[in-house]
Formats: sequence, C-alpha cells, structure tokens
Amino acid sequence: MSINTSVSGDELTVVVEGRFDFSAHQEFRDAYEEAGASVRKYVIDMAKATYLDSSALGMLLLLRDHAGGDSANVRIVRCNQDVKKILTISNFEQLFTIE
Amino acid sequence: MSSLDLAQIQELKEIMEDAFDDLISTYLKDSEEKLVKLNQAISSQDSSEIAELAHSIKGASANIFAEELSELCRIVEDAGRANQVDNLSADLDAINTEFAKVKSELKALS
Amino acid sequence: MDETPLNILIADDNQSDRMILSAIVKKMGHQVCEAADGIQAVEQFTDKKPDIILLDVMMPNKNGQEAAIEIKQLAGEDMVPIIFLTSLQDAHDLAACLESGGDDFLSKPYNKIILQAKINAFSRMLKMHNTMQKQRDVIQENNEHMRHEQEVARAVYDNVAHSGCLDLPNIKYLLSPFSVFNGDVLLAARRPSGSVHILLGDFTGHGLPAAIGAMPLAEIFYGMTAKGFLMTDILREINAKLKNILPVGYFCCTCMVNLSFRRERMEVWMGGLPDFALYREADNKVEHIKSRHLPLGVLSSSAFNPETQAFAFKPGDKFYMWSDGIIEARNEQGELFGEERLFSTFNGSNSDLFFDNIINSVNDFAGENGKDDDTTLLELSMVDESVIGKVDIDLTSGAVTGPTDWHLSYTLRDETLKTFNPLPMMLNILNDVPSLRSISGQLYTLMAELFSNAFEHGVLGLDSKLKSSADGFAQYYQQRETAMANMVEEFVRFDFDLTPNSNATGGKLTIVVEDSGKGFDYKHLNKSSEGNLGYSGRGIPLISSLCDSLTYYGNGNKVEVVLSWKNRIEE
Repeated sequence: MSINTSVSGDELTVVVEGRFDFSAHQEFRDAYEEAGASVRKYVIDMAKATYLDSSALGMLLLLRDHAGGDSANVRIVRCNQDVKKILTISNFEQLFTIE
Repeated sequence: MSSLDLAQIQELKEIMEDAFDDLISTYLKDSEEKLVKLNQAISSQDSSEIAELAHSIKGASANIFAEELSELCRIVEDAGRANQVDNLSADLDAINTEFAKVKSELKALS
Repeated sequence: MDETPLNILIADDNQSDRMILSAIVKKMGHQVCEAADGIQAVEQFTDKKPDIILLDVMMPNKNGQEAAIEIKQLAGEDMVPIIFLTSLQDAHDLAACLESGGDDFLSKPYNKIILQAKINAFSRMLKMHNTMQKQRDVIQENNEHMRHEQEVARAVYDNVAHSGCLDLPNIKYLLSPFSVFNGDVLLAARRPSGSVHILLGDFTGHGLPAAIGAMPLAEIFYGMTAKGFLMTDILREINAKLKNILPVGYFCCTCMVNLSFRRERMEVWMGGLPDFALYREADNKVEHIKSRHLPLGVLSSSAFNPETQAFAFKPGDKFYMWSDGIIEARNEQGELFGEERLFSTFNGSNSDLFFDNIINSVNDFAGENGKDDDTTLLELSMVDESVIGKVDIDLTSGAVTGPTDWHLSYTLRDETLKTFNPLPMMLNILNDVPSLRSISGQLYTLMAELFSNAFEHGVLGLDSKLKSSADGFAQYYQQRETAMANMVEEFVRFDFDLTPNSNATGGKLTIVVEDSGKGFDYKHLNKSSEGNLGYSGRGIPLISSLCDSLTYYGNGNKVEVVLSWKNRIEE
C-alpha cells in the first residue's frame, strides 16, 4: 500500500495504491495534513486501489472533516467496480463527489 | 638471550603496579611446587598427571612471558596426552634449566 | 569503560593467572570474585551472581566445560556471558568450548586490550538483554490487564447489547461469539402498541472502540421503544448521540426495522450495510433491499435523513439481515464468500430451511478457516399476532397513549430562578405524552417565550424597547445584570394541565405562567401595536400563533395559553 501526492495550484491529488485499509492510516493523514494551507480542493485517485474497508471510509471522513466538513471540496475518482460498490453501499456519494 | 620478553613484562608491571612483586613471588612459588611434582610424575610415568602439571606450568609461564619455558612444557604436555611418557628425562632437564633462568631473571626485576 | 561497574567472576586454578586477570579487570572499574576450580566457580555464581564469567577450561574437581553447562542452566533465561580462558589452539577444541555454553574465549598470554574490549562488548549486550527483558515483562503485564478488562467489557456488553426480545417465536438469529470484538449489535424490543423494533448494527473498527458505541445506542433503543417513540425519532436520537461521542471516522452501519403484526407491514431504514434479502412467499422470489443512507454517526442532526422504506409483509414472508462478517468470510484459498453466493442460498422451495442453508453454506465454504466465528445473522418472519402474544401491557391503561390527564405545578424562586433553565426538563415531561411529541417544537418555543416574558420583563422589569437599537442591547444587558443582583423573593411559576376529551380522540393542554413582577398594561394592548414593541417585545404575536387562546390576568403578571392536541397511536 502506498500513497503519493502532488499539488497543482490549490488542488491536492492523493494517489492510493494497493489495499486501502487501516495500515494506511498514518500515511494518508500525513498526506493531506502536510499539504499546506493553500490547498482548497482534494482529489483522491483510486485507479490503483484494490480494496477499501471501513477504516478507509473512516479516513475519508477524517479528510472531509479536515477539508471543512460540509463545505469541503473532495472528489474520489477512477474507482474500480469493487471500490465503487463499497462507496455506494455506504451512500458516500451523499458526502463526496464520486467519479 | 633473555628467557623473558622484557617489553611485555614491562607492560605487565604497569598493569600490576604495586602487586607486581607479589605476582612474581606467587608464580615462582606455585611453579616450583608443580615442578617438583612434575619431576615425580615423570619418574613414575603417570601420563595424566604429567599432562595436567605441564599444562598448568605452561599456561602460567605464558602469562609471565616466559615463552621458551612455556613451549618446553607444551611438548611434555602433549607427550603426556599421547601417553608417550617413557623418554622424557631430556625434556625434563631442559625445563628445569630454563626455569632456573626464568627465576633468576624475574628476581632481578622485582 | 562502559558506565556501570560489573561483577566479574574469575575462575582459574592458577593463582598467578588470577592475579593478572584480577588486576586488568579491576583497572576497568569492575568488581572481582574468584574461584580456583569448577565447584567453587558454580558456588560463586550462585552466591555472588556475577554479570560476566572468565572461566578456565582445565580445572581440577570440575572442569570449565562442566561448570559452564551448570551455570547456564542455573541462569535460566538471564544472560550470563562466559569467556573461556584457554591455551587451546585447535579449532575443534575451541568450537567445543563454545558449544558447551561458552560465549567467547581468551587465549594466553592474556592481552589486556583484548580482554577489556571483550568485556565491554559483553557489557553492552547485557544491557540490551536486560532492557528487552524488562520491556517484555511490562508488555506481558499490560497484556494480562487488557485481557482481564476485555473480559469485563464483554460481560457488560453482553448484558447491554444483546438483551431484549430476540427470542420471539418469529425471530431466528445467530450472534457471533466475537461480537464484542467486531462491533456487532443485535437488539429487539416490543413497542407498547405490540409491534417490534429490531436493530442490527455494525460499528467500524474492532475491539473496545467498536464495543463502546453500543452502550448508548442500546440504551436509547430500549428506552425510546418502550415509551412508544417512532423508529424515525429513535434513529435521529441515536445518530445525534453517536455523532457526538464517536471520533470522526467512526460510525455504525445500521439497519432498523419496525414490524407491525396488526398491519402486516414492515418499515426499514438502512445505512451503510450491504444488500439484505426480502423473501415473498407469494411469488417465491427474493428482493434485494438496499441501504439508502449513510451510516449512523456521520451526519449532523440537521442533515440526518430518517426516511424509511415500507413494505407489505405477509405471513410466510421473511426478511434476512446480516453483518458483513458473512460476506467477508474467506476460504483457504483466500476467496471471499461474497454477496452472490449468499443470495444463491435462497434457491429451493422450503423457506424454513433458508436460515440453516446460509449458515451451512458459509461453514462449508470457509472450511477450517474460521467458520461462522464472525457471523451475525437474523431472520424475521411475519406471523399472526396470536403467535407472538400481546405485549404485557393493557392497551387501554394508557401505556400507549401515555399520561393524558394530569396537572403539574413548578415554581422557580430567587437563586434557582437566576441560574436554572427549566425548559428542557419541562419539555421532557411533556414528551412523555406520545401525542404531544408531534408538536414538541411548538411547545418549546411557546414555553421559551412565556418564560422569557415572565423572567426578563416580569421579574427583572426590563423594557424590551431598549433592544430596538444596537446601543440599547448593551444597555439592556447591563440593566439585566443589575436587576438580577437585586432580586429578592421573586418567583416564576408554571402550571400545566392536560386533559383528555370525552371521546379520547385528543384533549387540551393549558399552560399558566405567573411571575412576581409588576405586570404590564395588557388591557391597552391591541394587535396593531405590534410595531410599538420593536424587535422583541413580549412576543405576543408569536405566542398567539402557537396556541388556540391567550389570556392575561391580574396586573399582567399571569398569562394562560390553551392548545388542543390529537390522540395519535403510531403503529
């Protein structure tokens, strides 16, 4: 499991690779916490994520909270079937823009 | 030629400080006792005794930097272990002689 | 030299050798004890407990190797480095020394530098070993504590989270024995009306964090169900509670069901759980029931959506709920049991076997790899109410309708009047009447206005006109502070009178509020003078809009409002 980040203007992109589970906790958190105050938009790229469990859902909620809660601008993109399914069951499209 | 490695003895003196004289007299006393017994053991051709005693003197002598004496004892020890103890009188003489030299040189130092 | 002085045992049958070693070791700052043969060496070890041992190989009475073996045995799991003193040269002999328990060897003539370096090296190793031992012991002790605490937690959890009426004849269930540790909750309770509330919850995480949320959840579920609250109210309450107490990122995937036997109807709310199965006998088909909501504990109260799905549910129909432990059960190849396999177990004509089919299917699949350890499963059937039996409460006695005929008088005086806000408590009392719950908000606003009038304008004598400008506000609050400090023998009294009407379709609620203030000239108040009172007068127009009638008495320090309410027994 690895996390890579890149910043473009005020948008932070976090690429998650491999299993997105509890072991990713600290790294994921560091990724957005250390990104600096100028970041307004967040994109989580799931193209290479193979698996998402409930602790990953929790991490997404933490990110949303950090990014301003209800006013947060967080997109979750390039989800595969399995990831999409988990997000759908949890109805996370009510909180995030999912592509 | 000296029976003692004087440079090493000097270092030993520095380690022992005031106890150096004590060390020398202890060594000489113990070794003399063991040498007497070694003489007897060789006479009676007691292989294990021979080996044990020769081993002991060998070690102590090495630590005192009397290398020649130590080497002579090793030869006798090996013979004892190999149970070839019927012809050791020459070796014994050599040991006794060398020991006398070591003794006088050590006494000269303290 | 390394910091701590050690205790070093020198075992050599040669006195001069011992003297040399002793001198070298003492020069390092360490302490020395001596032995002249193997037997003495073991004795010294037992008595003095040296940290490091310098051991001659050839000694009388017991040689070095034998002594080493004994010493290592006596030491047990403690580390005692043994350095053999030897003039052996042969590699095999040297190796044999190490095999017998020696950790190193030192050859003759003894080299001070080398000996000191070896002692230092072993000293470092000792320190590391001892540190690790201590840490291991601490960890072990903490582990024991934790295990014990978990046992206690499990006992409490079982009492709280799994009581209720899961043993009703129309319910079959399997509860994972590890539910404490995987956060599964399964609750069932009967409402006063006879219908049944069921809740299946799956908290995120494992262990104690998952289990802790279950306590308040269960309390709310049982408490409110017994009082006849609606499923939507209960979910709203639980969501608010969990949102409040759980850290961000923690939530509870939940399914709640209200099953009405009388109406043959089922209401479902699902958040964050995978599809459940609804079997209908009529067409022998299984429908997927999906989660439409986020899990509980995520959204704020204002964003929370309690909307439910309703289904007809006839005798012979069955509803299946499960935690994701079933879907995520793995076999030895690491494959997941999965949702497809789960739904395929419903094939076959005998629905009585469905429940067992699921369990057997998972067990067969998982093999030895865990079986149904992590499985929580529930089957709900619709049956005739006679099978279930009536609730143990007389339906006519008022448990359903709540208390509908009572009078309550509550007076606040002086210090209490200054500091205590009685509104939440009074609202709570009114909420115990199920029929008043639907106008709960209205009642709160009403009581807040009446209290504010009675206290601020009545008792404290403050003029609301002041609040019509920005400066006025500051003055107002200053006057308020002064007035409060000068309060002597003041009071505000609330009188509630609830009466049912003759045909029990509803009734009247009368609220009278009286204060010890000077009152005001209500006789010359008319509706069009609303503008004179500025931003916030006694809010009379507002109060009027909330009730059926509004009447002032005395010198204006007593007011009576009347509302009517309708009897609503929610199934």
